[in-house]
Amino acid sequence: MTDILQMQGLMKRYQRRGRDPVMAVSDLDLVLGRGGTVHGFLGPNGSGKTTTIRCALGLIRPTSGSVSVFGHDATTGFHHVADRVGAIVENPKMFPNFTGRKNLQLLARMAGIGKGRVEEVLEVVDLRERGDDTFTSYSLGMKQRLAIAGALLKDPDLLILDEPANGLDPAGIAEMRVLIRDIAGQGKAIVVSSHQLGEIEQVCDDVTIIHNGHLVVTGTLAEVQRHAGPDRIVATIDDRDAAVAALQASGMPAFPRPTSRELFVEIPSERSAEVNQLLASQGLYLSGLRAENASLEQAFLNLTGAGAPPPPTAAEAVHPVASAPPPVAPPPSSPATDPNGGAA
Amino acid sequence: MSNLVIAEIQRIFARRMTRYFPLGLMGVILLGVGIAGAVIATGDGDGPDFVNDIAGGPEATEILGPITLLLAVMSFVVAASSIGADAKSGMLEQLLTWEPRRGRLLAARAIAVFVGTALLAVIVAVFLITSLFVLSAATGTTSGVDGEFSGNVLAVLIRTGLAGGFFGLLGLGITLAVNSSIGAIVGYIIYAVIIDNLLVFFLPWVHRFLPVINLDAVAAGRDVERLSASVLSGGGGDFVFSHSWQTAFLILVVWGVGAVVVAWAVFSRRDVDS
Repeated sequence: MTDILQMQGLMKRYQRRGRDPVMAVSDLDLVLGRGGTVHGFLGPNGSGKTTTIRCALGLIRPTSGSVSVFGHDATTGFHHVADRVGAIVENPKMFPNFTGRKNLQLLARMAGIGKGRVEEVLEVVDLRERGDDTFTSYSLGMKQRLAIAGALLKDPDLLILDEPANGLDPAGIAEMRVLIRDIAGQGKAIVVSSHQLGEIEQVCDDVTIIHNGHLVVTGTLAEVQRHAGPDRIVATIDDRDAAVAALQASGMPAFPRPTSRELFVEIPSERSAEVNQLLASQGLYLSGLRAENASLEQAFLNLTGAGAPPPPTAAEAVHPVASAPPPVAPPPSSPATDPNGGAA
Repeated sequence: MSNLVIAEIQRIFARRMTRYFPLGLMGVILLGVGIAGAVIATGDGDGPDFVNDIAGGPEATEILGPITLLLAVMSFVVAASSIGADAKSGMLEQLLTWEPRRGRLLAARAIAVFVGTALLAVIVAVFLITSLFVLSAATGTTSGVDGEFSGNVLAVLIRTGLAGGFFGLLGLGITLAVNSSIGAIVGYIIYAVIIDNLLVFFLPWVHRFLPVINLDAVAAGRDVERLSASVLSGGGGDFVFSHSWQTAFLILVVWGVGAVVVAWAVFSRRDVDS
């Protein structure tokens, strides 16, 4: 089967007048996108996400390497697949003084798409009522939604959204997530780039993280999250040390959190009930219980060795009772993995 | 391709610059005609003879007068700003995800710019001629306006439209090539207002091939003249025949189409990363 979006040895170097050239993307081998799924293409600002997307859309020429979209070279043959690809690059881009509807009608006209489809996509993004307002009068969230409507006009098989959550308030981000999932639910492949790892991981099925133009990791969300360390349960209880001892005695990896009434149990959240049941059977009653899942942010920090330290783990417990250390995060040089789990 | 061209024409005419620049010019024309009417009404003299005073005779070679240069500026600015607006809004990136074949996009855009700017030039020219006709009819005379004269005026309008269209292409081509509408417009105005007037005297051999003088000749339907020698060589003296307006038209075509070809050569290889 033809990969939707494939990069081989992709490199892009920008020449700058009077200054050293900048390597935006280097030696990127990557496969993105599966029908009906959302692929998060993540990394901090300046990591090369937008450059990669521009290469994929034929907007810029790679210095070396290649990008293919639905089996066609993006630089020379993107026109063969342009009607199968909808994209927003960086910010929502429309003519500022035209109404939302007029903007979409002009795009539709380019491809010979009827006005009925314009109304359909306005409906999808919930902008039909505001369609006759000028683009400049829209909030950022509305602009993003209008741009998505523009990308949906062609009814594409692949939708590329570059930083769709940029500048949105929490409600806007939540709306965006729902919209993205709805679109993926129609069987379309969606690639969402973002520097807000935490916001995007909630909608992704697959994840690729790049940093400084290099691939860090790629795989399913669960595979990548493993790099953040284990999932764990955080329990709150008055007699913390007794609870830790009881759990450890039953074989659970439990550790007290320093200077608090909390303890960690490094097991999946699905096993929360076991913890509660076990402690209750010994007369130890919880006053709180919550899951603390491994995050992409933590995975990214672990993999790149950047930024803040990982959250407290067993190793930081004041009185570790258990002998088993928690899984150690991979070092910064940890090899990237492909979606099948192999080294890339 | 036709959808692309129609979309581009719609886009050009939906822009404020496309609407307000001609409206501004028409406002200035109306103001000038109004002032002229008021002066005539309060003075002792008669109003103008439309054919002889305004049109320069039955051939109507002077009927547009100095407005020809303004029409050229309008065509250039409307085309250049249309391209600049794309770059500024980032819309070019968006458009290229719809039509990645840059040559095709540029061709559609060039056709749209040509049609759009030609139409605008004709509209403003018609407005000017109509205003002056009304002024003459009200205060002077329109005698001599017959079928032959009207045919000559129609020919002026057609030539003006074509010349305006090629100036539009020039604006589009230069803006795309230098990737700056402001730079293109400022450069053009400096050329039209200063450099062109200097070259008349200093480099008459070059000046006769430049766009503005040929535009004027095409619109009026008259020959292009040049100084017999450069003032640098101590010469100067008389203006002599250089070439016909038909040749001038071909020169305008070369300028317009040439600018688009240069723009295509640059644009087709440029990274679009606004």
